[in-house]
Amino acid sequence: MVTRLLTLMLLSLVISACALKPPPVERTETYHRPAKPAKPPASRSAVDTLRRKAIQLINAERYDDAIGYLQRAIKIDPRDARSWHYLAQTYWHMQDYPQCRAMVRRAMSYSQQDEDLQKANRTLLQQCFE
Amino acid sequence: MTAGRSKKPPVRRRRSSATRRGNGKRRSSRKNGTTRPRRFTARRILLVLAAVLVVLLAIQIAYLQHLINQRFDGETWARPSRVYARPLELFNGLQATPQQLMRELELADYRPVQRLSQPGEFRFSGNRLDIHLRGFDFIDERQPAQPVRLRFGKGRLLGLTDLETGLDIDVLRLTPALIGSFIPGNGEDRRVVDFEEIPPELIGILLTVEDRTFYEHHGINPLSILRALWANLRAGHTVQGGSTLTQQLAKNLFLSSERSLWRKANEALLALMLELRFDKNTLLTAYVNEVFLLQHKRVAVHGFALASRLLFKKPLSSLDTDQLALLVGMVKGPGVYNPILHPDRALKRRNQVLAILRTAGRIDAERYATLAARPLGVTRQLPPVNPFPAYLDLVKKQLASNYSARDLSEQGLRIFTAFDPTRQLALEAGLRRGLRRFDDNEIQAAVILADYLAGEVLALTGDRQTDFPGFNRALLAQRPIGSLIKPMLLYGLLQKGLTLATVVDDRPIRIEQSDGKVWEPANYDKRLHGKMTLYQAFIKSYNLPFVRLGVEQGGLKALADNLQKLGLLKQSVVYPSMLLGTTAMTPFELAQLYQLIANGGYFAPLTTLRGVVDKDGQLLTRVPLSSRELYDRSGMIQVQRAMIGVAEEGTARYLAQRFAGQTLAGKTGTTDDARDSWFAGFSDRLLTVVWLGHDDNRPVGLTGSSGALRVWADVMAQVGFDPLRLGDDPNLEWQYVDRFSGGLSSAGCKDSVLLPFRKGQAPDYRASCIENNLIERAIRWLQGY
Repeated sequence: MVTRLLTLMLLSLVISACALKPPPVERTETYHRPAKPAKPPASRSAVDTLRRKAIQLINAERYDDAIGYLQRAIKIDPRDARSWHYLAQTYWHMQDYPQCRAMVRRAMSYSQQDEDLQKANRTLLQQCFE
Repeated sequence: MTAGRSKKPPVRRRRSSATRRGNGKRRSSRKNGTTRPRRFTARRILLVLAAVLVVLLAIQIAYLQHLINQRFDGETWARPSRVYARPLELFNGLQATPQQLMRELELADYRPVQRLSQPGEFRFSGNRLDIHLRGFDFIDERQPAQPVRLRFGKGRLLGLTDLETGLDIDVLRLTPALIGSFIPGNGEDRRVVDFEEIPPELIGILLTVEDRTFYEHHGINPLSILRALWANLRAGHTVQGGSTLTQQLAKNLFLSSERSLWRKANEALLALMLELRFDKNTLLTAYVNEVFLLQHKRVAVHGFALASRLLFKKPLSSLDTDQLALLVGMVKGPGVYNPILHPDRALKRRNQVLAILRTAGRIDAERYATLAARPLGVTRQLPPVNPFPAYLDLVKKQLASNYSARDLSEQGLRIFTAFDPTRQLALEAGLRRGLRRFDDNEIQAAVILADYLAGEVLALTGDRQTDFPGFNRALLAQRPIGSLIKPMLLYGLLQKGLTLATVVDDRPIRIEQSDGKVWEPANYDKRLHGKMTLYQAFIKSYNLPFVRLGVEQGGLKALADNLQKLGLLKQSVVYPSMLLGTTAMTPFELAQLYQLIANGGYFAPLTTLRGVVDKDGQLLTRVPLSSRELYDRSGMIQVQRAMIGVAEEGTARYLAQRFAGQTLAGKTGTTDDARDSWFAGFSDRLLTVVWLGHDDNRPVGLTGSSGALRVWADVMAQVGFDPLRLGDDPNLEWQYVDRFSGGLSSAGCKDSVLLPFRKGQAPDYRASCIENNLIERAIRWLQGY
């Protein structure tokens, strides 16, 4: 009797175990969402330095040299919206309006968190069409 | 000129006078008997012979003069163009280890030393790397030579200091590695130096050994010739040469090395003519640049400067006496005294030269003993002539529109590229490791690694044997791309108003084609999977829903239009089979297509080039950053999201296991009978395309998942990457939906998935939360989801 009971209990345990839900699938949701604004990249100071040099060159009307510095900055951090913005500005000075528009659009795509820069981009884009 | 000619007596009159004289002579010979004419004839023959000789000599001189003019007017030497890798930008926080940087330095011909003493050296100790940077002319500016200190910690560069001023540096470029040259057809390579760049000590040693009276003679040295003649007669064979440096130069520049009197005479004549035309320093410079010193595979190394770079990894100006002695000693027999192949002979020859210097009083006995005791000090192995042939191919191809092959091999251009040597070597290591997975040694491969944000090709291989300079599959192999077409097809469908949650039916479809034939496509697994969202069909790469949508919803036309925008639509007639990727593309073209997807619709033509300067440093070409918004960003973000799904839970879910927690996006591709295995995927900045297949198009037996994807993962593991940061767009909203019914769902439900929708396009009905529906779940479980 005891053996039967034990057997029955064991059987019921096995059956109940089978009926249990499988462990929940572990899901990581981070990749499903658009990325949060990242913390400033490590290259920030290098990019700032290059951009500052470029601005000096834009002011000195040395546009080709300025493009060189801005391209370096962008190659270090291609999401640096300000570098794209100043590149657009340089092309505007050089009256290369198609390039100006392309660059300012790129600047806009990376500057959604920076309202001031967005405003400057919109103004510049308008100028690129004029 | 005209006036001068008009003053000359008329031709007719001169002719008549000659006729008269001729008649007189004939009369006189008749008068004086027969002996005089004979004597006269002999003399005349001699005169004629002499005149003929003079004319022949004049013709020969004119010919030699022409040779000299041809050689020295304009460019004296064809200067191969040099191709440089990208300069590594150093800044605080750069993710890099000292080992990686030392590898970069070695590729740029820097030498490890115990103490920095001159440019081109580095020293590593603890977490510090001291580098004496060489001066280098970049496209935009010259970076002067300077010693700097780099401090490292936690896999990053923590600080840069100028060792001369002690000041911190924000950003600095490392000297780029020379990755190849475009050698002219004659196979000659050289680095041309000016007279001022030739170390006086080299001149001293060279003249002591080869021509001590160089500054006194006029091209030939009769005494020296006689001395050599006597020595050779006594020995019974050639033991000594009597040629001056100018004669050697004449021979090297214009003549063959055959041993004949005619060649010797020409050599002497040329030497005299060269001396008449040029000053001594010019001739010496020409010699230093021209002399053949080394055969390195199919490349003939000419000139001391290049030999110095190759053998000692140093510029000529940095060589010590024993090293210069070796180079000068090699002049006598470049093959015999090759220090890599015959180090013992080379050492003996170098010490012979040192002994000559001692005898001549240029060095004392003590110095001789010190120098002669030194090892040769040459590199153990010469660097490969063309270590990255596939990349160089692409460079050449992209330069072809502006520069002829001759410009490239003769004009001494300096070509700056985006080539990343560290990543190239990692790519090669990853590919080797990946290919070891398969038993088939004939599987061929092509891999392209690009920075899709900057639009630059960073690394490339067109063969499983990465240094093989043959058929470059990355650029030339046109292969059907299979399901790699689906992201573009998906984009077209999204533009037509469909969403990732649109429910599609995976059931058979028959398409009657214009030629009357019926096409019945099938899924790769030959099974049917019922209804599901477009997202689900995409991540599982089911064919039938996409063919149906392509035909019924205008997806085919949208696809053709989108491909045409990129110049990738190669046929004039559009067939439904295009929906399954029968379109053939090269891996490079495919990389261009995926650049656009990865970059959110911004088109940046993939380039290897950054700029070109001429031999004098004048900028000829600067490749501008190019970025054009070719496709809608919000649409492309939706495609990217679906591609993340592929890597996370679709046909490339292997990536989720291998790189757990690191977001990646990609798409697998397999063609009929598994003839081609493709994978294209991207991380934060890097796009990598892998193709595997056989050259003869027989089945490779691998799907995109079981073949190219594995190799892709091996490559990326070696290259290293940052996880993808999916972009956002103000026109998008994000909603949880059920992956099968397409209804709104919640985070906790089993089959829910968070997807982007254009604002206003999200589903407006709710799905039941499958978590509570055990029966439906059991059915799906049985179906294999």
